[in-house]
Order: sequence, then C-alpha cells, then structure tokens
Amino acid sequence: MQIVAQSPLTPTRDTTGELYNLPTTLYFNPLLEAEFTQSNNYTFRTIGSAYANYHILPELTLRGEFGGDFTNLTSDRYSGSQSNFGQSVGGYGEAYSARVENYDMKLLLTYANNFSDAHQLEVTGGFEYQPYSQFYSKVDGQGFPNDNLKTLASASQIVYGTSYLTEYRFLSYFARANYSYREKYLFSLTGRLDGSSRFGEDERYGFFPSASAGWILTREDFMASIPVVSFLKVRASFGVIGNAEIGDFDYLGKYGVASYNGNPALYPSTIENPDLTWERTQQLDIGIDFGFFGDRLNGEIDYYIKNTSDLLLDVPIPATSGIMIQTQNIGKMKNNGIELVLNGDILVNEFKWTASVNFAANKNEVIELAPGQDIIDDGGSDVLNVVKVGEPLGVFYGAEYAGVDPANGDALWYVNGPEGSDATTNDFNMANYVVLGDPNPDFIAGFSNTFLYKGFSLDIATQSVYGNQINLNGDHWMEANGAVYDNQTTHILEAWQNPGDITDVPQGRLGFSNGDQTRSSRYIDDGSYIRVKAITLGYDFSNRLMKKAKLSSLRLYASAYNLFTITNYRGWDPEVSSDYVGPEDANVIAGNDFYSAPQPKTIVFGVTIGL
Amino acid sequence: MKNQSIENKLNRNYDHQLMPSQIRVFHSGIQFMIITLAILFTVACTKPLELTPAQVLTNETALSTDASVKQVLVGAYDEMALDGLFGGEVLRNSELFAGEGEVVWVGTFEAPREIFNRDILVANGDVEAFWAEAYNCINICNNILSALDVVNEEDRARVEGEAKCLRGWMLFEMTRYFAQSYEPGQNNTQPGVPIVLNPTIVIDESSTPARSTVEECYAQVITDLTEAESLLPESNDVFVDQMVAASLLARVYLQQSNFENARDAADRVIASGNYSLMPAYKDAFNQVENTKEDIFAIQISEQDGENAMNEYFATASNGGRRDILIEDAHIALYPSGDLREDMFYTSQGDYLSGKWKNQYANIPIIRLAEIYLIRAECNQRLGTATGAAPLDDYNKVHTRAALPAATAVTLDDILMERRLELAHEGFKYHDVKRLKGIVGTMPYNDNKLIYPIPQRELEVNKNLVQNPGY
Repeated sequence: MQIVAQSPLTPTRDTTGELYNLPTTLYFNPLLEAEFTQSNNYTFRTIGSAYANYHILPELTLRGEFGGDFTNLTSDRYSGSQSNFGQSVGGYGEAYSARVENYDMKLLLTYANNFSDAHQLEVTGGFEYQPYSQFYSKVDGQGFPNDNLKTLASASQIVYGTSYLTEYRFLSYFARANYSYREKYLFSLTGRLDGSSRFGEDERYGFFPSASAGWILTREDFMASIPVVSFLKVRASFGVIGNAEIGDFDYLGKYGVASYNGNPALYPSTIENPDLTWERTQQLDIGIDFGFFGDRLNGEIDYYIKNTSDLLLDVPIPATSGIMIQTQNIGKMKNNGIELVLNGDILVNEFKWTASVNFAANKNEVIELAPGQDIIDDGGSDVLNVVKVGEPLGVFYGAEYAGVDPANGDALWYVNGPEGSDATTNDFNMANYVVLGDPNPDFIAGFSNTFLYKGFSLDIATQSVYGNQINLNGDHWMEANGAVYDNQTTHILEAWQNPGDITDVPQGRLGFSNGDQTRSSRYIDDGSYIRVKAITLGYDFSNRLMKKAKLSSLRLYASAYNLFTITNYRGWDPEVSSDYVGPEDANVIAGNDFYSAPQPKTIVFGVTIGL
Repeated sequence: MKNQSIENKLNRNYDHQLMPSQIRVFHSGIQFMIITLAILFTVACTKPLELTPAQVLTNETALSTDASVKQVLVGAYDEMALDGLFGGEVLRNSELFAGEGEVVWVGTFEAPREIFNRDILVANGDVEAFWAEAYNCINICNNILSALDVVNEEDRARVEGEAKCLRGWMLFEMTRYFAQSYEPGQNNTQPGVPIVLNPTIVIDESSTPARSTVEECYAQVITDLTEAESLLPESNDVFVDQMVAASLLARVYLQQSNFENARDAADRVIASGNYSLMPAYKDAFNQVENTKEDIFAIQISEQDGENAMNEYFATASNGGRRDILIEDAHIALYPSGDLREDMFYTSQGDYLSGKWKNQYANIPIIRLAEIYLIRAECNQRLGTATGAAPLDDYNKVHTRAALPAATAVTLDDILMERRLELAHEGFKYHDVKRLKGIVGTMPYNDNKLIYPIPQRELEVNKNLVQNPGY
C-alpha cells in the first residue's frame, strides 16, 4: 500500500509502455514489483482421526483416539531483474518448503451408570499426548540469465540456505466426574495435570481443577404454571486454566548459531530462566440460558471474572547483560465482562423473519507486575503499546500532543510533569509519557437478520465495535507535514504558515521533525464503527420445477460485502490488522494501522446447483 | 516510508485442503490393544517432555569444548559486523552527526535523520541498537574469557587476546558516543558508560550496572587493548591481531591527545612491515578480499554479512537506498588532480561517495593510510621524527592521490590530508570532538552532540543517569 507515498503526479508508464522507476518516481515503483515478481504458495493439508471403543463391562468403556494433522507447504518466489529486490543482483529466487506434524493421542476410561432414573453418574479418567513439530528449509539464489528462467536451477549463485526444526509436546492426565439428578441438577468436577516441554524440569507440570453446577428450572413442577417460559437454566462454574503459549525453549539459556566469513559462529541468545512456568487463570462464570414462547425467543447471558497470575510476558532486561528480552512469569491481570446472545423467530408465517443479536463487553486491567515495576515499555520510538499497572493490556503510551504554537509553527506537547500543570514544550524529549488511549474496545456487537418469502431470502449481517482507539502509524509518514518527501494527506494543507495561524498541523519543515514523532497522541483516533458486513439476496427455485429439470436444487444469489460503514475514523478502514507484528505480541501490540489495506467492497453473483 | 515488504499482497495462494475425514479402523479388540499399547509405550518409556532445541546449544555445551569456545569467539565478530556496529552504522553516524555542510541526509528513516539534525529522541532506534549490540558483543567476550581453561593451551593467549581486544574496542566506541569528550589533563569524572567485565549467567542485581566515569572507561579500554597487543599473534587471518590492537591503541591515545603513546603505537604497526598502501587509492575500496592496506576489515560476501555503508551511501542500482548525498562544499576541498575526488559519482545531479559502491565488498575499518597520518600528526605536534619525519608520512598518502610531493608540511596540512583521505569512513565526528571543532554553529562539547542513554535502558536500570540535555 505504500505506493501512496509516491507523488500523485507520478506518471505510470512511458510512451513505450515501460513502467517508470527512479528517478521519475520518488521511491522505487511498487508496480515493478507487481509486474516482475512472481510468488506461489501451495498448501496441502491432511487431517485424519480414528477412534475405538472397547467395552470391558457394560458400564466400563475404554476409548482410544488417534488424530493427526499434517501440513505441507511449498512456496517459490522470483524477484525479476527489474524488481526492487532483484535489480542489483540479476534476479533473486527463493524456494521454501515446510512440514508441520501435529498428533493428538488420547486414552480414556469411562464408567457410566444410571443407578436409577434419578441418578446419573459418569466418571472418566485418562491421558492425552500432543506432540508437535515443524520443519522448514529455504534456499535462495541470484544471478539469473533471463527473467523467464525462474527456478533456482538457473541461478548462477546460491546465496542462502537453511533448515529449521522446532518441537513442543504436551502431556496431560485428567479425571472428570459428571453427576445429574433427574436431569434437573447437574454437577461436574474436573482435575487436570498438564505438562509442557516449554518449561524447565521442575516447573513442567501444572494442576488445574474446575467445578460446575447447573439447575434446569423448567424441569421443576412449579415452573409448569408459567407456560411463557419454555426453558430456563442457571449455571455457575469455577476453575483454573493454564496457558503455555510461549516460545518452545524460552526457559533455557541458549546459544544461537550464526556465521562470520564462512566460519560457524555461536552467540548467546537467551538467558536461562529455570523458574518459568504455567500462567494460571482463575475463572468464575455465571450464566442463564433461556427460552420463551416455545423457544421462539431464546438466548443466553454470561458474566465472568478471570484473574490471571504469573503472566507469561516478554520482559525487557538491561541490554548491558547482552540480552534484551527474557520471558518471565510476572504480575497479575484481571478480566471481567458480560456476553449476551439473543435469537428470535419474529415472523414465522409465509413471510419469515429471524433475527439474532450478540453483544460482548470485556474490561481488562493489569493489576501488578514485578515488585517495584510499574510498566513494561519496549516500544522504542515507534510502538506505543505498553503493559502498565492499572491499565488494560497494550494501552497507548507516549507524549500528549498539544497542537501548534501560533507564534512560530512549532509542534507542542504537554509536559505532563509531576506538578500537574498544563505547561507545553516544543522539545519532544521533555514531554513525559502518559496513557493516550486503549486499543481494546468497550464492547463489540453483531446483529443479523434473515428474511424469507416464498423462494426469496435476504440475509443482512452487521458488526460493530465501540470505544477502541487506533494508532495511525502510517500517518507518521503520510501526515508528517513534509518532514519526508512522501505524499501527504490533504489535512496537511491546514499547516501553520504565518504567525498567528491557529491550526493543529505544525509548520512543514523538510528534513526536520516538527510534530511527526510517532510516540505521540497526534496520530491516535477513535476506531468505533458499525459496518454492514454482508448482504445476500437469493432465490431458490421450487422443488416442482427442479424435478422437471432433474436437479435437486437451484439457487441464484447476489452478495455484497463491506457495503456500508458508519465511522468517524480518519484512516482508510477502522477494521485494521497490523501485519507487521508477530503473533506472539498480538495481545500487546494491538490497534496499529500501518498502511493497512482496507477491507474490499465486494459484490458476488452466484448460482448454486445441486445435482 | 518504511521498506515494508508488500509480498503478502502479491502472493497467489493455492489452497488444496483435503476434507477432514473421520475414519474408523479398529474393529477387533486385538487391533485396539495394539494401538493402545503403542500409545502407552510411547508416553511411558520415553521422556516425552524432555526436548532439546535443534538449532541452538544450551549454555553448558556452548562453553564446554575448545572448538565451541572458538565458535563463540567467531560469534563476537558476527555481532560486531551487525548493522548497528561495524556493519556500518557506527561509521555512518560519525559522518552524519558532524556532517552538516559536507553531507546531507535525504532518506526517510527517522533515526539517522535525528542524528544528522542533532535532535535525537531518547528512544532513537539506531542509538538503542548500537548500545544493545555493543554490550552483546562485550557479553560474548566475557563468556569467552570465563571459559579460557577449556581452550587448547597453544591457542589460549590468542583467544584471550581477541576477546579482550574486541571488548576494549566496543567500550571505546561507546564511550566516544555516549559521553562528553575526554579532556586531556583533566580528571574526566563526567559519566561514561557501564563497564561490564563478567558474563551474564542469570538476571539479578548485578545486571543493573551504573555508569563509570570517562576516565575509568578509557583506563579499561587501554588495559584491554594493551593486554591484547601482548597476547595476540602478529597476524591472524581476517581476525584481530597484534597490529589491530596497536592500531586501536593509536586511535585511543589520539582521541585522548596523548600524542607520544599514539605515535609509538602507530609506529609499531608501520614498523611491522606487514602492510603497504595500495598503489591506486580506488583499489583500497570495494574489494571482496582484504587488501595489503587493510589492517582490519569487516568481511562481507554474497552469503554472509550485510554492508550497511552500501545501504545508505549507494544508489539503488548499486544495492543501496541513496540516503546520504555529498555536498559540493566537500567536493571543493580536493585540490585539482586529486584522484580521491574521482571516487565520487553523481546520481540525479547529486554527488555520492564511491567508497561504498559494491554491496558485497568488505568494509575497511583500519587502513594503513590512517596509521601513517596518526604518526605524522603526532610527530608534527611533538616535533619528533619517530619512525619517519612527518613530511615523509604525509607524502606517502599525499602522492598516492597523484598529487605532487610537498616540500614542507604543517599540522593543518596533515589534518586536511586526514579529512580528505579518510572522508566518509567514520572519522568525522570523532575528529571534530578531539580537535574541538564546531558542527554548524554547535560547539564540539554541546550537550546535543553526544547520544542520549536509550530510554529503554533507563527504564529497566534505575542506576543509570541520562545525559544533560536529554
């Protein structure tokens, strides 16, 4: 998307049809990349599972399960001699292949007995073993005689080759007992002992118990007098769950492998943390399931509290140690929230209308970090997200933008010093960082409707997010008031020009930072939106007609996606995904819009034929 | 504009996903028992949670044998060759930081732009990378020094010498950038950087060192380099040897204005007779092998290493980003006929340095020409002729550029020769500092003319203090 950085006056092709490049274009022309780079990915995935039950006694069953999920991925890429990557080396080719093996083996012994119609008991014990491995290899070559020869066989020089294997394993022992009395009162107890290869020898296993109870009121006699209520169940559960989603060998002090001048080299890559162990979350959940009018209106409401301790976080450590990050169990976090689902068959006659609403609100707060520690901030000069005590995970933290000095066009920030005045400064280094926003939404909601009339059907699905902020990371270049040569947004036309100008866009100064510093509130905006995500209008031909045509079904339809959005967000699309952070940081580094491609508006026409 | 890959948008994806299949295979009790027993056997008779990583070694193995300690030593060079260190940015930033009037930064990366404008944010990414990579290199050296007893006896002195040489060198570079200048004849109690002499085993209270003084930093640098010079062999392939340590000592003493010691160290290098100037100036650059003139160079090849000097100084067709242009004012410094002026080339009407045209060339770090000019300057200042008269050393460098031999030489002549000979090789900032020059209108000791301590370090180490002005 960074083609928008080019001047809008840039011509695309010359009179002979060749794409322009530097120096006609400001930066390397990405269209050359589109035209002279080729990339193919092939994924083959096989999923299989098998199980067998063996009845030792009528009440006692032994069950074995064996599942496998195998992925083979190969990709090749060729950057031609006119592409950015290939131009100085006569074409650059890459070949990549990966294999992922994921097994799941379970052995369960179950005792089930209905002692009478009143008492039902089921007790299960067993274990589960899940080994995972991932292997890939990659080879790069350069110096191709001709752009039509794209495989590495034609490369004059192989410049890179590697292979890589990583593994993890989980081994769990568990026991579970379910008991119900007359299918009115339901109880369950579970205990799990989970082991993970991701932790050191003394910290490998965690014990995670849970218990739940439910009461189906509509099975009680006294509810029979309220016929409007067709189903009512109250339930509560309390349990502890564990999380081991970290790198595969983070607990070890390790040396990585490199090379210098063709000689093999080793370097320390992590510092040992033998205490690394499971992150634990205590979760209390209270819920009601209900149905009215013969379940024409039904739904569920849940309230939960989750208290997480021993958070698994990547913690910055002094670089004077030689290492910058260590995975540690640090601090506590709390989540609480409600979730609501409501489904209704509103019209049930010839014209049918069913509607569904869902709503979820979550409040997250970091309760504590290491003793004496208030913040984990490893954002450097361009990432705003931090982990801060008393705030939600991943809040934006930086200098608070205070607009423009009318006298000289300097960008200003609030000092936000301890004395609490509203003094401002034009020296970014003098502005104390404060919390500037929260990438987590207050709530998300969805609303979907289906209308049916004769053969016609209409589905409308909307989604909405409310109360989150987004950091427009790309505006640090696109709205830099001319600090760089990049094309700028029209907002920059409001830049300060003469003493006395009142504006929030600082004076343009080519080559100098004047308010384009990334870690400020200047580029943060509200990300709330309501979007009509999908509309589908269809027509199903009648069975009678189908019989004549010897078809089982025939459906014509038209769908439109992302047709319509209501938002005040000033970027391209509030439904952003930051494609430049790894998944391991996704819970902290959230809500960044860095040239994120907007969701496409798509209209699809289709025919479905059933033979 | 960050150079983010757009490959994801260009990829064509072919997904061939087979439908999940639920297959029942076991019909008899015997088959069932076989699979169950197999699972049980796997879990019970192996230690399923005992995994060892495939690509990395644990601490104990890495420092346990002669061969592996030597590979850790190679790791120190690999670290040193990173972008943030001698892969280029240590040199590049010296040219940018004091470059006003001679070079101009036109790139989009904000970290070098801040350095060029002498308006550095405390979270500047390049400053942070320099700090982190230098201390990583120091930690590698400390790990090697802690494991010398497993190194074969005949190599032990060399390995110790290399580790001490690199450790002292890193400390020297950091002290020059993060602290106010060494002032000869003063106490130099101004804060330098933390001195770390032990390997990191665990993170504890010793992991948050305070800043030592500039005096203490220089003393440690000189101790390490002096020991290295006595431990190292006279030549050592492409790795640091006795002459590299002596050359570095010459640089360190020169930075301290300790001209006697600088002269003597330079003289030891020249007297070794191991090096000679390339007949043609241009042949000292863009070479894939060390030249006779290279005392030390970072090794780059197609397969290994990245030349960050090329990245910033060269045009796209030479593999670079064309971020640093050379101002006419610099070109005008060369006398007519100076072959060194021919090193520059033009692109879109602007001058670029031709020293960094080949992206797969080695990066010369210490050339013999510098050592001649150190000896000449010190002899000139001291009125001595140790090794050679200043005029002779000066003419060695001067005439190689096809200029007529001088018959007399002044200190200013030598300093100008140094400025031209070593242009855009990372000397600019350090020379401004020791010669008490100015950058634009900023005096050499301005608070803004040193780096800030990285913000992240201040946050994780309460024993550090920030530099005044930040």
